Amino acid sequence: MDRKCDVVIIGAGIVGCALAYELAQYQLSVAVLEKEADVGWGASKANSGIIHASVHAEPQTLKAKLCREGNELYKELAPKLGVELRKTGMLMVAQSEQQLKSLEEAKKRGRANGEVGLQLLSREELLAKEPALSPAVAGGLFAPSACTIAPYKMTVALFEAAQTNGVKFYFQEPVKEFVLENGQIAAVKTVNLTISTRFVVDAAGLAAGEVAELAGCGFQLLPRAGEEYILDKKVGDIVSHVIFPLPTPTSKGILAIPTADHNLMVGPTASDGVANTHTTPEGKQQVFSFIKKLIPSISERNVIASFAGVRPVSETDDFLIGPTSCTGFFLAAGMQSPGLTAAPAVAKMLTGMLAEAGLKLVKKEQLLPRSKPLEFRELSRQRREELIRQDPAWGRIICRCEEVTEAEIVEAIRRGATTLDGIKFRTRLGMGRCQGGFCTPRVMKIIARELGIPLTAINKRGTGTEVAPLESKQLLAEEDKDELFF
Amino acid sequence: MNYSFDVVVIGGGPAGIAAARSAAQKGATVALLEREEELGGILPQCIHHGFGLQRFREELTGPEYAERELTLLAKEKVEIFLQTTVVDLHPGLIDAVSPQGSLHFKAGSIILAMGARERTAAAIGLASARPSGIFTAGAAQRLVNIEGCLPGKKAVIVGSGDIGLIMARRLSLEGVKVACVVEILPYPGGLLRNRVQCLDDFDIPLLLSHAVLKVWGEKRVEAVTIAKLDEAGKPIPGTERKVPCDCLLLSVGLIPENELSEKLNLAMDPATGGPVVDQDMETSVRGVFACGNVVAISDLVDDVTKQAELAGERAVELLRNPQSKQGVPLKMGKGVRSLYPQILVRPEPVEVVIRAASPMDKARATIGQASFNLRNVRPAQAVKIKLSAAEVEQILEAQGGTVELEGEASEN
Repeated sequence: MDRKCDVVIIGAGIVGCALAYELAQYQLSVAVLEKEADVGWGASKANSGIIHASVHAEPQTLKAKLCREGNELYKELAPKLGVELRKTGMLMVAQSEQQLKSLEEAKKRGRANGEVGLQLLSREELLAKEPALSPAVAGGLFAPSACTIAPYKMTVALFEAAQTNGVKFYFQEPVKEFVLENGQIAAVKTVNLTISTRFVVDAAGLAAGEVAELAGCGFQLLPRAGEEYILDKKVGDIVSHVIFPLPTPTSKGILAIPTADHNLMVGPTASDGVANTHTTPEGKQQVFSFIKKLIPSISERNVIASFAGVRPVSETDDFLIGPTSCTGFFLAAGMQSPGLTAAPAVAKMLTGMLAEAGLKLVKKEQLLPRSKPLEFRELSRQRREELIRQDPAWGRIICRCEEVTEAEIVEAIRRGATTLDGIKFRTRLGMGRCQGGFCTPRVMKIIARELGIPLTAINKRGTGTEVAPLESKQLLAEEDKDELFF
Repeated sequence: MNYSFDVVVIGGGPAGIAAARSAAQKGATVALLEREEELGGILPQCIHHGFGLQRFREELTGPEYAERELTLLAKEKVEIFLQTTVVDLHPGLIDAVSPQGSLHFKAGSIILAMGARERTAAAIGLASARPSGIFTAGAAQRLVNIEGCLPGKKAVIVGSGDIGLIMARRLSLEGVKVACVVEILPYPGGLLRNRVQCLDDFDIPLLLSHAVLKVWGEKRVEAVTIAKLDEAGKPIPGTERKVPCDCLLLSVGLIPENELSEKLNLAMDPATGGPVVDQDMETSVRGVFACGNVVAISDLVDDVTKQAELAGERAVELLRNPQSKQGVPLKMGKGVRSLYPQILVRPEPVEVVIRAASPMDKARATIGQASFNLRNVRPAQAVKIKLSAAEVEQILEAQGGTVELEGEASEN
């Protein structure tokens, strides 16, 4: 398949989708190539879900600047796209007198980065704001601008908004080759596509360095894995602010995060050089032994799920944003924390750079809105009644733990989900206490019906992850029963 | 839509069906609410036999047992609401949704019969990259028995609970190679007959005191590393081995499904995972009764039916003749992991159901002043002790009693 585009974006994570949405506002043809079956399946779905206050990074860094800008942009962008922004604020907590000095330094940094409302708190003031903290705390720094958000919902929202406004997304299409003419990008090739273009933005997350290598300007990224543990909503109110310890040289530390979905989440760890998404008993031990010192009432017993994500860390430790030695090839890489926060600002910055490099930007007259998908669990009795009358599928609750109805599942499929994880990240189906034990077979039937595919073809997250790949009696008909499935 | 019934039963599995039937038999107006498209609860997917040995003196499959019960139910006047999920609950008031719309029920008595859910991978701290191929045994059972598809070609089963044992046999019968059953405790869970008929008969090794340390595979399960555990439950270095497999079935326990119960602020018993109930199966909230797995996990559906019948009867009796009940506690003592009913209220015969904390070949149970000799006490098979009216009276007069189990420890 051959086409021509003004801009090709590699990677449909939060940065790729934010850029797609930004560019969708102009009269441009834009394509996004994503190697997975859906958006946001790299680091974008597997992070702490925090829109940070810019108190960690040094003022001259992109991380510091774009964190502040991104934080500001989210205030309008999230509600505009129908994604909840939970205004928790953050508390950085000193656990000893010696640590108090670091709080002052963080405050100074934050001020220099443009944060307002930063407040140093005494031990008493801190405990008054957050009674669940250990009485052994020494003081804190309050930053009001921090929020929590469901990063997978934000990525999906940006994707839908971009797609509605003309951006083409191609899934399970990893880049194979860049065609260059006189050191200038001329085309992008995947197994199935050839797209001629003059501008490519590499937002390929952990693979960004390898992708850049294909364009002759490769670079190293250090993978840094982090495990997170999600606790039952029953204990979701233990804290109301995001709780930070003092940062370490490589990470913001192990946090307690009241998520936008009202779970409590604790983590992440930071394991340099680890590029897989395994959770480990050691990681769990590390998270809980640390966080219990800050918040004694937190218990492992309330864990309902865990995951791990991998941040890509650049050699400069800062974001890598901008042109490369290959004309027309731009980077949006090294997006470790605060990548999620910075994403909308990164998008604007890159758009400016593309314009400077010759991309003609003509604003569209009108942008089609992205409608927030309705969620049964949030609706009033009256509204539920109305919807059920229009469509009985609103009265069929499929995921009992999170109260997700058949209508929402069908809508998620309509909006592009083809996998169990795709539905999970759009509707929260399977994110509750039973972790999909009851609803999985039922949602599989709905997917099969809506997509017209057999049950055995339904997968968790793309080819190779089929849930129940064999039919009943199939093995009995086969000769060699000792071979593994794949 | 507004409704009013003497008794509303929440949950249409074997407990709810029997409770609704017996309440209707006593002349009450009864509604039975069920979230699925059919009644039967978990029974329709339990296509193995072993149900009804006590109740019907026959070896029935799950669907057959359900059919018998539904035939009996059909003889009574019970209004059945399918695809109806309860979303909110107050004493005497139930809010539900169905494809027909919002339903509001006024109820004289409520009977909770929501059953149980399966313990998850996260709850046992299973470390993995969340690949495809990890199932709870019940979810796999539904896929195989109802939807007609198989979870893989080579399975490892984690936990020797009944559902895992049943699935070990079921998968084997479908041509899936079941490499082993991995059990963390030094003794097996599950009924003895399941161990024999599902593992021994199929040469499937049962690895006691073993645990899964790691699940390999990112897109799909590729293998598990298992190791033997020492007495303290820690992996013994050098015993680790990698077992190739492409699916993992977790049979690591059932949890009474009490999310709705919590909306009522019922007194809960952390030992059973269910509401505290008295001998009428009434909870701490007047007019709210509970029966079946929602109270405590039962081993036999026959017991569930009996218990639910009692709940149905008492729900109607107490609605018609409200009693002020002065309850005394039955406390757990040595050797007891859980018991119910936790409260006694009047001198009449009462069956106390006790789960032992550990296996014992010969044991003595003391309940208050009364004592009973028992044999072959296993945590997997709850001990049912019938107290006489006099024995119950003794405990009432003593303002309560403690239940203890003492005996010789068993090897397995």
